[in-house]
Amino acid sequence: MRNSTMTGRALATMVAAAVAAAPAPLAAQGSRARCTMPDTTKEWARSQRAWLDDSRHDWSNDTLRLKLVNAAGLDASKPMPLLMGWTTLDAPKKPDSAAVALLRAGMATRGAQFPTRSVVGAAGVSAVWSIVFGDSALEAGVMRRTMEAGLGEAFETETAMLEDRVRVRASRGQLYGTLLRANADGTLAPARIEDSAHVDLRRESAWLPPLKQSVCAATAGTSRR
Amino acid sequence: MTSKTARGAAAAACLVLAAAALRAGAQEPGAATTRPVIVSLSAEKVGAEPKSFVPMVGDWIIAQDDGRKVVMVDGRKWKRGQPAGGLADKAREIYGARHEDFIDNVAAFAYFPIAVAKGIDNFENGELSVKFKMIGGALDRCSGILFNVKPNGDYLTVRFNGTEDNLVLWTFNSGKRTFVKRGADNVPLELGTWHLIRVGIHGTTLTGYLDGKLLIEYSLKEPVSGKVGLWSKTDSMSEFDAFTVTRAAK
Repeated sequence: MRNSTMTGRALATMVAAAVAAAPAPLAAQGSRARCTMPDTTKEWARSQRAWLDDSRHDWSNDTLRLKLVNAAGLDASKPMPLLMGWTTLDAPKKPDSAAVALLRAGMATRGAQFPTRSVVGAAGVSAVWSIVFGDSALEAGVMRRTMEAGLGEAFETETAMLEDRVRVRASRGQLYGTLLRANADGTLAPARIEDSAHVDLRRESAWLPPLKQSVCAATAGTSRR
Repeated sequence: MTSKTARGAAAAACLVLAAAALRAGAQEPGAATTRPVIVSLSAEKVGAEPKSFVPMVGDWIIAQDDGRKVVMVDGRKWKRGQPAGGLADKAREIYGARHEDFIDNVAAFAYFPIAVAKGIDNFENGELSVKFKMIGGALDRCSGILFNVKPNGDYLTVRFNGTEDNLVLWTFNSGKRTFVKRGADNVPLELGTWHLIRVGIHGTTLTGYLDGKLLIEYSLKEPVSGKVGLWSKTDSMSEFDAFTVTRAAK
């Protein structure tokens, strides 16, 4: 317990430092970390960008979208940034907000409208992801609902990252290697991966960069987004 | 390689191909037989579409797994619910003049990749089994046995879904998918490991097994009669091997 608490503190410090750091070009950060950073010209990044593009304004519930985006503190006037494919379990559980209550109610009611892409757009879906982050019960519930939502309705990258978190919490191996833990020496490495031989194949299908590149991004202190 | 050795190798290859063709069921043994017919992949080409199964929806290829040829459904490339290329020709190949209804129905089910086994006609009674290995899929990780495939595209499937950890019987009728029966227990399976689905059909009694464990028992409204094959869902990536048809003795 003592070790994991220390690990948690170390990670929290690293994440805080990463968020506070002024953004530098990815390649330059990789060079500092002596590893290859995610290449945002590749297919994974193009797919993420295409999904995150809200320029068609084709969602149906603008009121709900605004509520979610505001609750998550996102700026929906700009395209959502790409996900670099890593998280830690140390994200603190946020206090319940009206948005959380809304999501809980939506999940508790069978047949209730869930904020998917056609309902709240890409920014709204990303807001849901940000809101539930760190809340284990909500993470599992949202993961189920997004998996059931069907092709195009869920951001598969976020769904994959949620599934890794849900599986690791349930003491199962993760599937995409997106959940990192700090080693004793402070370096970051993925928690146990199930069927690690195919991990990059699965990452490709979920529009994630290769595992080594995501670990590099995390090591270099790049923001998750 | 000497010419004599080359001739010998060629002759041996012909024998293997002939044996494979027999095993594939191109010329099925007598209908009363109880001898299992295993669809052989030995004559298939790695990286190409399977010839022993006709892909109707989705991307199906022959892959190599630990030196063995397997059928792989690859949902990575297939995100928009399109039928497989050349659907009309393929439907004509397995259903002849009656293929147009099949095309209409399959297009309605285009989120569900299917590949129909060649040369296995009108399965009614007995057992169907297949080994499967889940590899990935962000929304679904499904592997299933397709059966009772009608010329109009209606069918039944017993499938395992790794995102739900369950074995389920579904019907697909006139463009509508309907849940029928869920397995008695949820069974979490590890990705990258081989497992076995087995379906027993005896009259209207259906049984579904996962790795030898009976999970589904169900009484169908009518007896089964139709083609068989492999089934998957949306972005699933799965491998299949040793698809086996064992007809009940009449």
